[in-house]
Order: sequence, then C-alpha cells, then structure tokens
Amino acid sequence: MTYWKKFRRRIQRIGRRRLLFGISKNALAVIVELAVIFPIVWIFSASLRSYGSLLTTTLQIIPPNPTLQAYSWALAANSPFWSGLVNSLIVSLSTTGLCLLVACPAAYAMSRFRFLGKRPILYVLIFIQFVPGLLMYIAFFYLLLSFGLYGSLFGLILVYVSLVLPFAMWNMKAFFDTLPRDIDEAALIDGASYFSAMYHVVLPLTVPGLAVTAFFSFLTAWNEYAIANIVLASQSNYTLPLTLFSLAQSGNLTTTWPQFAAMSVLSAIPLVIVFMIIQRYLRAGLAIGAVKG
Amino acid sequence: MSEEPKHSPFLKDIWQKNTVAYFFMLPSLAMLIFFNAYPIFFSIGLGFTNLTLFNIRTGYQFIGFQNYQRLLSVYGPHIQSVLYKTVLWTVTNVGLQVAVGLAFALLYNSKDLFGKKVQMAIVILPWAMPGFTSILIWQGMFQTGSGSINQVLRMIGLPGPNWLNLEWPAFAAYNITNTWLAYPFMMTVILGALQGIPPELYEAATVDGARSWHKLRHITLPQISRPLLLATLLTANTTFQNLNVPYLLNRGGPSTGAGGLNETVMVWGYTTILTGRFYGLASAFLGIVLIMVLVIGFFGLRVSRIAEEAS
Repeated sequence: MTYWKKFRRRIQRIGRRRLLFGISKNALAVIVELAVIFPIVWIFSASLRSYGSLLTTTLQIIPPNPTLQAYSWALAANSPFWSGLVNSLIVSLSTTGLCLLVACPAAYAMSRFRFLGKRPILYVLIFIQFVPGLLMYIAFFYLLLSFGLYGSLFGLILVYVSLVLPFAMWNMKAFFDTLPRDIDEAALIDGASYFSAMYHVVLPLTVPGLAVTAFFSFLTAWNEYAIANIVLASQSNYTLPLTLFSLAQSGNLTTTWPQFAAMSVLSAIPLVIVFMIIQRYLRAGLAIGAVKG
Repeated sequence: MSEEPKHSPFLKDIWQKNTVAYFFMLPSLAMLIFFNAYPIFFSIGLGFTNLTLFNIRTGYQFIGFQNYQRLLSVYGPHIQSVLYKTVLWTVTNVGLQVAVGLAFALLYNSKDLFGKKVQMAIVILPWAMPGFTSILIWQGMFQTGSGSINQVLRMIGLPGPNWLNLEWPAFAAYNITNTWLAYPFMMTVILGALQGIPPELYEAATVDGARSWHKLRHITLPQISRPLLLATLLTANTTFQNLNVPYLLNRGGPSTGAGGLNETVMVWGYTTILTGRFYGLASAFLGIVLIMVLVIGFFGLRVSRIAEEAS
C-alpha cells in the first residue's frame, strides 16, 4: 500500500471536518511560532552583519555580506564579553549554590517540624515577596557601603541571595511536603541524624524541586540589572547585563550594533541550553509551587 | 497554606524538636533579618531624613514629614501621572499576559498538533532567553528607521510610528515587549492545569451535545480558575514591580521637564535613587508605595478567596 492510500484511509477515518480543523490549528501554531521567534531570528541575522554595512530601512533577514567579524570581536581575549561572562557566572552560580544551601534546611524544618513561630515566618515570607525590591535598594547600598562590600561581587551575591531566598524557601517546602514522612522516619529510626536524613534521603528525591529552585535563582541573578547598576562601581566587575547595556548605549551604531547582537546571542546560548535541560521539570515544579503555595 | 503531611502517631515527638528546627532555620533567618527585614525598616526610617549620596558619610538629619510634603506639593502633579500610568500598565499588561497565555495554552493543548515537542520548545523560547537581552533586542526592533517592526510595517504599506519617542506608542511597546517576555509562565501554568482536567468531563459533555464554546465556558475555565487566579495575582505583583522593561526600553520616556511621560512608580523611584540627590525622598515615596501594595494585595487575596468560595 502506498503512503498516499494510507493517508486517504486515515482521512476517511478521522473525518474531513476534523482534518480541516487540525490543519488550521497547525497553521495557526506555525504563524504563532514565527511571530514568537522573530526577535531571535532578527538578532541572529544582525549579529552576522559586517561593521561597515549601513542600517537599511528595508527588512533583510539574510544580511548582504554575512561575516563572523562581530563574533571574533566578542570572543577575542580582551573583549568585555569574557569579563562579563565570568562575573555573571561567578555571581549567578554562587547565588544559586548559597541560596540552596541556606534555603533547603529551612524549608525542611518548615515542612517537617512543628515549632514556635513557624506560621508567622511563613506569612512574613509571602509578605517580603510583595515588598517592592526597589524600597530596599538604598538600604542595600548603605549596608554594603558600611560593611566595606560596596563594588564587590560578594556584596552583590549576598543581596541576590536575600532576594531569592523567600521564594526558594517556599518552593522547597512545597516540594518537601509532597514526600511522605515515612521516608525520613525510617532513616531516623535507623539512627541517622536529622541532617543526614534530609541530605541523604529526602534531598535526592526532590531533584525536580531543586532543579526548579536552582533555575529561578540562577535566572534572577543572571538577568538582574538595576541593583548591579547601583552596587557595582568598576567596569572590571560588570556583569553581562551591565556590559551589554553599556554596549547598546554607546555611540557608533554601525559598529556596535553587530557587536551587541553577537554578544546577545552568545549570552543567551548558555541559558537556553540549561533551560532546555530543565524544562521537563518546570511544569511539575510550577504546578506544585503555584498550586500549593 | 498547605496541609501538614500525616505521620504515624508514635513518632510524633520526633517532629517537635524545637531546637533542631531553629538550628535548621538559623542561616536563612539571619539572611532574612539582615538583608530583608532590616533594609525594609531602615528604608522606611530613611523616608524621614534628608539623606543624599553627598551627605551619606558626613551625616544626615531627621527632617520629619518634609519629604512627604514635598512629594505632595513639588512633585504632586507628576506623581499623579506616574500613579495613573502604573495602574494602567499593570492592568493592561496582566490582561494581555492572561489572554495570550490562555489562548496559547488552549492551542498547544490540542492533540492535533504534529511534532508537538518541537513546537512547544519553540513557543516557550522567550522564557529561555535572558530577560535583559530580550529587552535590549526589542529596543533595537522599535527603532524608527532600522528597527524591524517598522521595516515589516513598511513592507505592508503602513507608516510605523516613532515608537520610543512618543507617549502612547512607547506604552504599546512596553506592553508588546513584556507580553512576549511573560506569557510563557502563564501558558505553562495553564497547560499544567488543563492537563489535570479529567477527560470524562468532556466525554460526558459531548454525549449531552455540548458545543465546544460551552465546553470551554462551563468545563475548562471553571476547572482551571484556581491556578489561573493565583498565577494572575503573582503576575500582577511582578508586572507592577517591573522596572527593566520601561527602564531599559526608554527610561519611562519620552521625557519632559517634569520627568518621563511613561514613568511608572518603579521607574520614578529608580531614577530618583540613581541621581543620588534624594535618597530620603525616594524612600518616603517607596514607603507609600509599599503601603499601597499591601492594601491592594490584601484585598486581592480577600477577593480571590471570596471568588474561590463562590465557585
């Protein structure tokens, strides 16, 4: 039987009306996707432009003389991209690590123990998430200045951890709550300490929760612009958002525009890869975090 | 607040060790007190001082309610427009995010899509992009001559406006940009909720001869209302607090003598902080904003709870 006959039989089975409906849905989805990825395609094409080429008023998805000039500039040893990338990685990874290190025991305690002041703490955590972060910026600035941490990456990390912490504590608590207590009770009866019950028995079972929490902490630190702009003084400490923003603002558009585009593409790649890996956990994670929280 | 998980009664005492719990809580409580609680109260206190960048080391004074008076008198008219734009921005953008998220979720929940995994990966891509990069890309796209939006408009024969230099086109640009950035969250939450609806409900409705619009209205929407409401509330808060989109696109501009025409509460606060001249004033202003957020948040929670009980 040829493929075509198979196809026709299939149409007969599912009915013509349903088929038309299905085709139009697919067509709609494709249009939606084209519109959604247009900015990404456009910036990629801009990153391939050569420096001298004039900005045109007509749309050119494929640039006239595509070159990798801008990428070789961005990846050169002395380009601001590397320092920005290194600083951003240091800040984002430390924020994520420190945040999980601090939040997990607390979330475990809030999920497993009963203690005085637990309910107020949970309410305060919600309250903090509604406080406009901007209100605290001046105080952060003042605090870091008086601790001698102004302008340092470590100060920025501390600020970021405190920003993500309430969310991380709530989210991890929601994940711990989904695990039955019998699991850690068994470990405790076998003589494990509370800490090792959490660390060796419960945490390995909450990998999706850890993944979601880690991803959001990483994302917050990776994307943050406003506080970094206040707290970081010297160019050598700039994170990627600051580097990119100063590039986007600087004068000579025909040169800096391809450079900016190349750097945007390069700064997006690591995050897109991490996202694609973590995506399968996201829906489960959000469902638990949003519905239970 | 979630339910306590059940546990066997004879081990009850294991879970009531206060000291262990506090030990586990200690690092995070220390962080929260130092870097959340203290800054909040400290900032509210700063609202009553004349702190600036220039007297931060030499000493600043308590000046009572003078900052609040200045907010009402000197900055009053501009702040009125700032508050108006903030409310408008939050309402329109949350509406757009919910509408787009819901429409996309319904489309992508369909079984008729081929290569669904690939299609999903594409449509969720804005989420995977770093936000600041995306905003700066959109800023490039909204440029008058070289920006791709006007290029596309020109191709179909429409004159594109000078997006970022006019009041309402800039406002539209904020909305387009932030909807693009934020719908994947809404969509993912709704998709998760959609997949939790038992298929028997639809089968029963089909047997009863319900049209697809009725199914949407009477089965789908009521079934996803709870997570949708919660996600909307969360989104409303983050949208209200969004500084990056208006600030990175055109700093709340176009600017006039008094300040940008599209400044939201956050942009005004941030630019006031950045100039370094009015830390006290900015703190006083943000203190008022905090009170407003709490009042609105409180009523929001009340309303959502009432809506939940009614449904």
